[in-house]
Amino acid sequence: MIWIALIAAACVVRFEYVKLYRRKQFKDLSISACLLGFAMTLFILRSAGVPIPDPLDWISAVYKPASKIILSALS
Amino acid sequence: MIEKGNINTRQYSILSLLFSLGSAILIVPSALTSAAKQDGWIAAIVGVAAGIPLIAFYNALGARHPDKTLIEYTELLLGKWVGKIVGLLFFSYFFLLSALVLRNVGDFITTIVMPETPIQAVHLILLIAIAMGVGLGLEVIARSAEIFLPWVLLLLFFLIVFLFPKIEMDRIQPVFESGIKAILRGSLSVISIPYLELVVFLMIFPYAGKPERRGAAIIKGGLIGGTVLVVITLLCVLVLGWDFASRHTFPSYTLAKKIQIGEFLQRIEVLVAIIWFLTIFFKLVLCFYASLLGLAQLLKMNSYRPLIVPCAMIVLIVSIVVYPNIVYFRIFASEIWPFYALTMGFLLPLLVWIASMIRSTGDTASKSRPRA
Repeated sequence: MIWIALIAAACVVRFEYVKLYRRKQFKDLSISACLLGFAMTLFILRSAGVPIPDPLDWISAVYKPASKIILSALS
Repeated sequence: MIEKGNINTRQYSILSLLFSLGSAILIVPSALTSAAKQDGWIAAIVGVAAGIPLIAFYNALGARHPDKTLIEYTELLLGKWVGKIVGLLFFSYFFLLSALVLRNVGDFITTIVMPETPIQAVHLILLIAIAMGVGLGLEVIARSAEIFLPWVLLLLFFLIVFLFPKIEMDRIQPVFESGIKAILRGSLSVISIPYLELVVFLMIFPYAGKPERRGAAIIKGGLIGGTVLVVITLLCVLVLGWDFASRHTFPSYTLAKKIQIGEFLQRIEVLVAIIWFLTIFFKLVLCFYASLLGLAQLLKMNSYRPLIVPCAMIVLIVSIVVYPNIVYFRIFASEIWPFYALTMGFLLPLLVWIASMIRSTGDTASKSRPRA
């Protein structure tokens, strides 16, 4: 999986970023590069076996109390 | 304006139809029958009846700012910082939705069609198609939806007609046994899975044809989609029986396995798989498109296209870590997701709508400006 990420990243740098650099759209370039760096970090962490936090757990933690009250009223 | 494409109201309506069928058609019957037993179809009707006013509300909100997307006018109305935070919440909703929908496809294929294939491979292939679709823009997505719609309708027609001989009317009885509370609880799943997700359409609202005809178009799409959901749920109850339907994660696929016309026409359940791939592709493309467009507008970028590959990579990772197994998902989808979707799909738009009523700047400003 890490290879796929590397190939995708290489393609986007070669084809997209060169174009953005020539058009001097440095803001777009920097935002996209930050996200790409974040994505690569996630891929590296994943392939190193580091557990990545699950956003659904956070949502569950927030909505669990409300959900319990409403669903028990409906059963 | 980042997106220069324009689609017509017919395409808008088709997109909303495909969006409301995608993922719901396979997941919702099981949630409905496990909550309301043989009255699952009544719960579906209640859900659709609650969903249509919700779409009307989205239209009322969108019509106040006919040439801006949800994230643009959120920032305009709520001020810079609060607006950015609320916009980021909308973005996270669309983004998470695309990851979850992608995972649904992966689960479907790896549990039913190709059990030996790693789920990452399935996600990757679909994601490449999605990234290409989003890269080509809204007009191409809408036109391809127009091309695929007849196939979806034809296959749905076959599915429904071929199941008629298998119907056993006594499976539906006793009607209303489960009571009002169980029906309401079941209807939550229909309200949350296609209808509260239609807030995504507020992101493409400004590009959809004549402003005065947009409302009717999306209501038509949502209503037809809802009717199909009701009919599929009814068939699940009538053909499979509620207990069997509620135990399966993908009951409408099992439903298609029951088709048997004579000795020669059987095992055509792949029809349902095709319907599902087509509809879910459009749902996924629209969610991903809306999240990228939203992020680009939040950060005031020139184009959303540089974000496609990085965000697709993040979606790939999120879709895999998002839940450990299918049981977690079923509990999440029935207990937590309706409330999360209610916050993001109803309460926050309501907040934006109230702000728009109080400030009422958007209306006059946008009417005096000529449409692009």
